[in-house]
Amino acid sequence: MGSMIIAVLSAFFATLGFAILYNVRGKNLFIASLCGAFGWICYLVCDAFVDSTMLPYFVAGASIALYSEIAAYAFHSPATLFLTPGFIPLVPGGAVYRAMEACLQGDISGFAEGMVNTLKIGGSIVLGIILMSSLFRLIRSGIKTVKTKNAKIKRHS
Amino acid sequence: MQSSLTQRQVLDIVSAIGYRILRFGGEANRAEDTVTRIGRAYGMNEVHVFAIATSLLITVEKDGESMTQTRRISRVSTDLDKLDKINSLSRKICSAETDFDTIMYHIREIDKGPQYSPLLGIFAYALVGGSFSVFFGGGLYEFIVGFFVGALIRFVKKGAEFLQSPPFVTNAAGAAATVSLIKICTFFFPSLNISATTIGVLMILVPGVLLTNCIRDFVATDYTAGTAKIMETLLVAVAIALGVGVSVFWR
Repeated sequence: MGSMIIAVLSAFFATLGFAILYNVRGKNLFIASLCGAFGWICYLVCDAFVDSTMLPYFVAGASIALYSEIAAYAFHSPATLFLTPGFIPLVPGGAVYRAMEACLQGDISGFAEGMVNTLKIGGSIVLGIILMSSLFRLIRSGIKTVKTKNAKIKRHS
Repeated sequence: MQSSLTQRQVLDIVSAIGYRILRFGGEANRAEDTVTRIGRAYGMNEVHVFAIATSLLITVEKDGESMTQTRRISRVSTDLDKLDKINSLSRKICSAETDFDTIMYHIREIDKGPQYSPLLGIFAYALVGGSFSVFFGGGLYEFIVGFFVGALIRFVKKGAEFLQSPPFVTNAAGAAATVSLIKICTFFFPSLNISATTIGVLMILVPGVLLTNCIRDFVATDYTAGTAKIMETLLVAVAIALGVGVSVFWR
């Protein structure tokens, strides 16, 4: 439990660092940093219940996308503002590094395994983000279409 | 809607805004969408816009007359705060008509917007390096080493940018400096968890804006813009791997 809290805290501060680099300012800075911590909490919670490597990453990706879309809607800011820093802790840096290390030691099967693992993790995160973002686009365009249709009907009658 | 702005002025405004969205790290789709909205709101019959990460092409059409402007985005300077402000400015001018000079004044004000001091920039690099070293399983020593190496990577990157090196070289140099500096640190901390610290500091070089914009471009079916960004991201990854490869010489 203690290590989990440390992991979430370090994810928060790492995201904060990235948010500063991208010049996010004011209250958005805190909201963006929270996005990174939130993603990692979702990963840990899902990881505790499910016996799978890909599903927790998928859930984490979907949850940061959901978080940033809701924050974007609430504060009238672009979702990128929160998604970009929040995405960073999920990047499978460890998997890439281990693959690269195996490659440097001449362990080709270890390298291939590591790269496949990286692709699995990265793919799951991206899939989660794509799913949530698409869903939000659908909702937005759906609301817009219904509104314009209603306006047209009113004008005709 | 009738507008007091001439076609030429509208074109100038949408070009200035679209250019800034792409430059400050917005998605191609956001630029296209914003340009179309503003153009329509200011009385253009048709707005044709094509945006990728490096260029912007806009044609506005009114009463059978069309005008075109292009913008080339040669250097991306990610600044999400300015992106946010440009976004709210375009919302504002879409909902209430504003005259040309006021809009241009607001755009210039946004350009002058605040940025964090260089010292805080160094601190941010150090914070990322230190926090990620802990995140990937390090302890107190890893945090300290990651903190200082992260701060030094800022100087390496700024130095490379000062010499106007291509991004590929910048990233390779950053990665090479990271592994070398951590190797030096192992002389002072023999029990250092090298892999945790190295991964942690290397995370600084992750092109976050490129990655998220790439995903969002694909969601918005802007495949041309998305594919270009995938290639750029892959090139950065190869550059980092090449830099890490330097560690072969330190064994």
